[in-house]
Amino acid sequence: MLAQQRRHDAVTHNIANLNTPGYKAMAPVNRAFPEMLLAAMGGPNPPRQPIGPINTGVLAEENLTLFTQGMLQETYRPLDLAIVSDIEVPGAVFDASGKYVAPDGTVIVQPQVYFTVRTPQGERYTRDGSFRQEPDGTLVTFDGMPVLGVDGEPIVVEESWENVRVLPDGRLVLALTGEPLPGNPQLLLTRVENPMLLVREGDGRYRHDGPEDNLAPLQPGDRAEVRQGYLERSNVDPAQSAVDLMAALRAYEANQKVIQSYDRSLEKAVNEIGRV
Amino acid sequence: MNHSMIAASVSMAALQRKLDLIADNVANVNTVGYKSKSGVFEEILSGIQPQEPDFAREGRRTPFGFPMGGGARMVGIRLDLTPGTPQQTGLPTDLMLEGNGLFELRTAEGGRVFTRHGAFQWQIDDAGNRWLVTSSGYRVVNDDDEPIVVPAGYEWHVAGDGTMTAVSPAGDDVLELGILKVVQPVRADLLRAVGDNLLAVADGVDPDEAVVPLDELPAGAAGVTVRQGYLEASNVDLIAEMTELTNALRAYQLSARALASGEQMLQMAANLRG
Repeated sequence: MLAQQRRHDAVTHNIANLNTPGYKAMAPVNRAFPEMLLAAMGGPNPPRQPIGPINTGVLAEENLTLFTQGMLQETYRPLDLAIVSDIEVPGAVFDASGKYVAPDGTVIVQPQVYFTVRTPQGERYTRDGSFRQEPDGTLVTFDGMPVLGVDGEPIVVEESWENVRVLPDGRLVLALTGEPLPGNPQLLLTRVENPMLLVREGDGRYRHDGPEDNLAPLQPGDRAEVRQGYLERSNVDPAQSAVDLMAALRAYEANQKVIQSYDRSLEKAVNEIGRV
Repeated sequence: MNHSMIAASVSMAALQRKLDLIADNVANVNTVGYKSKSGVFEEILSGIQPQEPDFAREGRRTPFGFPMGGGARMVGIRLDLTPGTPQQTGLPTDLMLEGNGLFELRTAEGGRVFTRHGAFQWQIDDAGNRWLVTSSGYRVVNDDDEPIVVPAGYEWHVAGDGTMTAVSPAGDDVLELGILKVVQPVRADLLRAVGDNLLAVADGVDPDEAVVPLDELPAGAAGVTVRQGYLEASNVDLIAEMTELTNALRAYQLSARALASGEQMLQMAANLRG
């Protein structure tokens, strides 16, 4: 029942974030508890070998994030940025959920690209591009975290952002002339090789919990780009979520019935058979 | 209350605020100079349930810990400063700014506020002179930060670049009244709607950071024209608002469904034993 409760909670969270830009759906994964071996005991002619394994239930093991690309929504605001990424890995053809299973069984997850922001706790990564500009010109997320450039420092633009154009590789230029802004600012787009090692932190941001070489700045030639004036919608499928809610509820109910029938047989054993 | 119910109810509260913003926009679809508002949403993480290192099983892909979601919340409200379409009224006191600019007003205490709402009026003083004011009595100022005063009977003209003149009834006396003060918002994020269709900066922010008079800009007054006899319609896009409304309603409905479903689970747990 607990596993189904976790699944229900995750689907509820997905539904709540149906319209949150840059949101990636949660997908809890169940795992079976270790199996136990059944053996016959007592009786006139006990068999020599055990009967077989019995499963002892499931637990919610991990809450995966589904890293599929969300649809782009045009907002016409120059401060709204969206990342479109479809990174290629030689030899791998990724399925709809962003995974590739090689013939020898290894699983490769498609690398993903993120904006890099600085929080008081360190560097974080996000796909939510609804940015704004502070009075001193710093580019920040809507709740105030500075967005970093390739030099590792926050991006500061003195101009009004109406005059700034963001090129697909993250460089900032003047909209009218195409000249780079003073200081050649360029957004730091981080490519994460194995996005499964990203830990969700809330507010659309992820923390990286893995080896250093899992992260790299985006290289020219990688299939990912920034689009100005667009926001990436959440990748939650509302119809599938509604079905998952019902499935979790009914599985919960079924497990409840199992517990109740165990309870009744125990009651019989305690109160009727074993009556003292 | 179990976790699903808390997350669903939090999200419904946030969606309610979004619906309130949409209702505000739709109610002001005909308000002169109104700028539409939209909300910015983020997900809430209620916590990461810790897992022991011996939880590791073969095939596990993510780091330890089970993240638990808590729904979504509204982080802030965004003001959309795109211009609305011009409507011709023919009234000499109706002004419209074509291009990115704001009129500057003075409150009774001398504070600086700004607006796109150019439906001004005359306030007549004891001497019969007419002062240009808004419907709430705030004075419109010119480039020298002086209020605009026109003697009785004189006709008031505003040219496209803001130059104001007053012509006597006989046509022989022409008064130069300076140039209408128009500022351009260079940091639109610093401006907030303060009611009565006015925009002001937050406390502690210097208005000179948010707006710059046109003549101090590198391009000068280029791109901004004053039109006398016109009003700017609100910039609310009704179709976009209706679409957002439908999205918000459906999301609300789904969240309510999740809340009901979570409540049923709670009921099942409560009825586990009889």
